[in-house]
Amino acid sequence: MKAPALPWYKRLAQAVSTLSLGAVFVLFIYGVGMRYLLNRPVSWTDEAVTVLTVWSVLWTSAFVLRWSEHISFDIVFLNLAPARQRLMLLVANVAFVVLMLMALPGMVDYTLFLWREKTDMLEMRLDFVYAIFPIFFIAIVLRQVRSLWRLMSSRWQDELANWTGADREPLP
Amino acid sequence: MTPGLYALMGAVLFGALMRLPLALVMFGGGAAYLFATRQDIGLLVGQVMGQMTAMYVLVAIPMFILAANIMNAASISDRLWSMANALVGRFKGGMGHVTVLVSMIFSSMSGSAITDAAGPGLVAVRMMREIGKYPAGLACAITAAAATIAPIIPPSIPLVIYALISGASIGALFLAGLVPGVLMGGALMIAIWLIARRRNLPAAEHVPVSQLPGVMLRATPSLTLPIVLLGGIWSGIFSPTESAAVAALWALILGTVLYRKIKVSTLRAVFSESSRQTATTMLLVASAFILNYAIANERLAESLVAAIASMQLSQLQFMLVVNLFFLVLGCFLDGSVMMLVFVPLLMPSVRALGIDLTYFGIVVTLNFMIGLITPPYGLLLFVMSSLTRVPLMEIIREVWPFVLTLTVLLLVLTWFPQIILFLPHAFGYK
Repeated sequence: MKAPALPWYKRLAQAVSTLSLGAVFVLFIYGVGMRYLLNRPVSWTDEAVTVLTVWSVLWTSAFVLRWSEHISFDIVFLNLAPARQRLMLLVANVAFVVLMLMALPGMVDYTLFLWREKTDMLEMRLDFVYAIFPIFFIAIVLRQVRSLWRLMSSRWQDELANWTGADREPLP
Repeated sequence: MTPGLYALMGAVLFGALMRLPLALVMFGGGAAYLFATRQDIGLLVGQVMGQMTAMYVLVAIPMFILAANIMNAASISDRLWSMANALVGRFKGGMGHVTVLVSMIFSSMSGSAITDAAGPGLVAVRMMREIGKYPAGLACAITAAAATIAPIIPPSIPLVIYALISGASIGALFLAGLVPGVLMGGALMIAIWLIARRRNLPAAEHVPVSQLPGVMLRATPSLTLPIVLLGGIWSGIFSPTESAAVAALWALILGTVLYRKIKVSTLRAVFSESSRQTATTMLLVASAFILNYAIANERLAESLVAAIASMQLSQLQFMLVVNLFFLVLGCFLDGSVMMLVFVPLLMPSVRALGIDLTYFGIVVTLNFMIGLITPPYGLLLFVMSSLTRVPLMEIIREVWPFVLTLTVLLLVLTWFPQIILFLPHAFGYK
């Protein structure tokens, strides 16, 4: 299975996602090993793997997953003609982008306000830990804007394929 | 209904029907709710991130996914297939029985029905069609039905999420799933036997008894995985989360050292694929936190408790109503959504009626698994269709007997809680 080469930023996003799960795994095994083999429990790994997992999930969802990979309710959508599908995506994405643009300033404010608080074990600054959440939304909104742009262009059918799942290579 | 609830439900229904990703729809619904009730929009960040970073148990999910994907990459499905074939292939409709047995064994290593369908399931469809001459739709239907066993036999991702929602013990839930999972396998095999007799489907190739030890031996190392995984949890040595990571490590050792199937490049693909699967599953969990905040804030669950109390339902009547509700809903909704949105809503009523939390968890999870194979919206049907390119309609036509079989089993388990509970009770979980 040879997929066409992805642009560098997509490969970078993918690599970060892969490495983050690898790091969760290694940290976990390190924690278990210290606790049971060396009898010197380290409690910071529990917090580290939890935070790292949350980062990994939001990072991967924001920068790696295709639209068609997200779980969605598409039985109505898939039974429509392409022109209707296009209209549906235009309306839905505009609505979501508008809602999120209204919400984002408040979300960013809230996150920045957490600078004085720290996590329990590792004492990481909470605004840094939580920052991935607004970042996730900013990335999603930008991707939606790009998607809207393409849906309005003459090549809208290519963009539609990203949403119907026609873009996905079949599994081996 | 308050204005806040109208905003929430309106946004969720609109977004979902318009095919936005469900996780985004739920985040959007939460934002609409906060705006409509004039609360601080920052709560969206606080609720979701606060709960996600405090849920150490959730890390079990990527580790279960990783363990199963490593086992798939180590091609243990083929070994399990030969073993199961030697054991049950000789019966009428042999290949179908083999499929179910392989799924059951794989279930003790994997916690997700989709992983089961994509791993051993694909091998099963290939074998049934090439060797057993099964119609394509039937082969896919059997495989989809067998894959529903994966989250019932421990380990199980839905049961981890349920434990999180309900506060029930993961150890107890994992023990409780064992007997129902085996019964599911048995019930499906009976259904296959009946279908095979009517359509005159052949038995598989007969494996002489003399070859049995060799075939068993080849599969034995992979069978140590459930022992590590479940033994670790039940003996109390590891927490469920730790045991999931240890199981992933064990699978890695088996795949690289013993089976020599996993190279560095495969490993990268396994981690990358696991990371994507983790993200799709857990983003939905994350988005449910804000929805559940709204539900709690509106005291919806309390109203439901009062409504149910006024109906004076018995435990059994309540369970039957819940089953009916979820079976109907399961035709249209994804199991994870029902688990994350509707189960929290029901939990206070379940407690008020004094229903055992472990029993309730197994019953609703089985119900959601049936939802995965009921048309028109059955995720497993879609997965099988897209993996094998068999038209969806052909699979749907063949899946009904299995939906019926599992529904009957669901009713039996609902009626006799002891079938679910005697094992956890015997191990001292109360």
